[in-house]
Amino acid sequence: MIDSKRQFLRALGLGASCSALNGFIPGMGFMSTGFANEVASLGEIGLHHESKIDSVIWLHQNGAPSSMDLFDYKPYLHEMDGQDIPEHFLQGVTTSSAGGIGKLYVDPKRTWKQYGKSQAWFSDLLPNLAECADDMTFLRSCKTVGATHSISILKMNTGELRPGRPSLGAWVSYALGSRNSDLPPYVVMYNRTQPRAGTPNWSAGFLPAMHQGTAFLPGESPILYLQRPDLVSTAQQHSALSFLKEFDSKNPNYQYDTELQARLRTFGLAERMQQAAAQVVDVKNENEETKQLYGIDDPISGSYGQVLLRARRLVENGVRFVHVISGHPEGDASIVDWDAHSNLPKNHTVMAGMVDKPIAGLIKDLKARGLLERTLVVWAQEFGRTPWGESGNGRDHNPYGYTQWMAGGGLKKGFSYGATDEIGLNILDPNTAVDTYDLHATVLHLMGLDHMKTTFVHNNRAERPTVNFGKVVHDVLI
Amino acid sequence: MKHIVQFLLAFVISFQFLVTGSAKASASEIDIDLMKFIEQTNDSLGSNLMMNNQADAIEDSEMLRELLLMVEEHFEVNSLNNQALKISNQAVFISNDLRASLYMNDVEKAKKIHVSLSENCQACHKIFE
Repeated sequence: MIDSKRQFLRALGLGASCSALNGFIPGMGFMSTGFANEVASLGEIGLHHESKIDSVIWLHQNGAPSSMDLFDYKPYLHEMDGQDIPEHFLQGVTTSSAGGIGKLYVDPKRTWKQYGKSQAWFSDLLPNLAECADDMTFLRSCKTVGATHSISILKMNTGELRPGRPSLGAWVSYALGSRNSDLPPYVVMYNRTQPRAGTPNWSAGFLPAMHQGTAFLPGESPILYLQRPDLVSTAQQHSALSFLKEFDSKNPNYQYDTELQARLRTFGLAERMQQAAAQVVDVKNENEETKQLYGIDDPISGSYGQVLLRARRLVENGVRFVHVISGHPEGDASIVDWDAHSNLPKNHTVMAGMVDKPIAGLIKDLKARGLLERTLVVWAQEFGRTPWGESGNGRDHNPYGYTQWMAGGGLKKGFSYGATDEIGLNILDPNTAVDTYDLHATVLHLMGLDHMKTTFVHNNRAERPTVNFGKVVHDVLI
Repeated sequence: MKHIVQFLLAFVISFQFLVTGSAKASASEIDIDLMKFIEQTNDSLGSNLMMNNQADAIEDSEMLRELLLMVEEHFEVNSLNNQALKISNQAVFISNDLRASLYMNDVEKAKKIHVSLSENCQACHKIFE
């Protein structure tokens, strides 16, 4: 029977013939394009188990910093500076960079020191963050797919290399909804620049459109047109919106049109935000000590510090997922992100100078306010960088092994999980690999969600945040 | 459902025969379309597992196992890459395990094994990008 089945499949050729299967899914029949299942799934999922955190601050370090220049100290790499890479490190490694694989490189000016009871290593680029060593949980065996920013950033945010899937924040919004009906559950912020691949990074994908991230602009007025025009009174505005809502909800297609529902919901939310959001995003009333803690008084860290202070205010006011993309400081136009293919010492000095104090300030501030135990701060990056030099003193992209970290509720503090090899190129033990799916599964677990049960039926197929992958990294949890 | 699948497959064969003049492929031939079909079957299996559609998940797991046996055979016949052969052996082993879990009504275990199976696919595609 088995042989005949195999012969049957083989006879298909499964070459040109498979194109004829377009629209057919094994075990599921023909794909439906109807909205029936989507509408049936509009409700929130709710907690699968007790949550450890209420909010996530997802700090995307745009451009991919070098772990081995920040917090993954590699003495052997220092010993081997300027030499060829021993062959055994390169098994399974392919590179598409123009310069190929160069000689091992370390910045001669970099100095390293251990901090806290955990004795975690930090370079001199992160002196403030180093003071938080015992609050941090390092994932030192991260890996991903792809070696170009756009696709790896999309994977980091949505679990897919192409645009179209919901971002992690959208899944959280869909599953848990809002903690504050006057604010969006999922907010996106950046200082000066958006990441590559743009808005699909905070898309709702196939989830109802209302779950997409709400982008706040950088600068003093992050929400455009927040103020009601002078010529329209509060009562007039409310009356107009009520009429629109009533009119649209009588449209026979209303219950199937999630974009229309999202638009109406956004109008209602915008009306409420006129009252609440202006106060939440206004950091002017924060005291000088707090502003200094976030480095707002410094031209290098000022814009990022302002964004992170807003992030704290947003989680304090019930926003579930704050997605922050690191931009760049004002001034030097040659540095726009962490992507240091050349002159990494200059790039990382500027970029680390921009994020070090604000992130340390955020962790300290959350801790002082008792919020860190119910908040998760995640340092996320699309991939790492190579131990070999590119263009002399730069580094190329490295998806094979890099470090990300988390801080907050439900985690073992001052703890390191996994490791990369002696030069920081590959993960040491494949069994400890933390792919983006695993990071997403772990974040969702801390929020009280089982990633395997956080599903949405789209085109007759159950979809989940982790696609077909995802394992919770239980070893980092309390 | 099975009747629909059989009808469609028969239709596809007839269609290919008309187009190519041949309904037979090489015993050790695998191509991008086969890989896409495996991916679709794996996606369908994942969906059925999440929806606890045990019968459809069994159907998908049977299909997937057949397809993975073809991949294994390809690497056995061509002896192209020992690492790929090892991974394809592992894929068949895991798919057997998954199938067994479903027949034993342990869908939760099957869900976890499905993640391992998908990771196994990914491990091979790291070599054959």
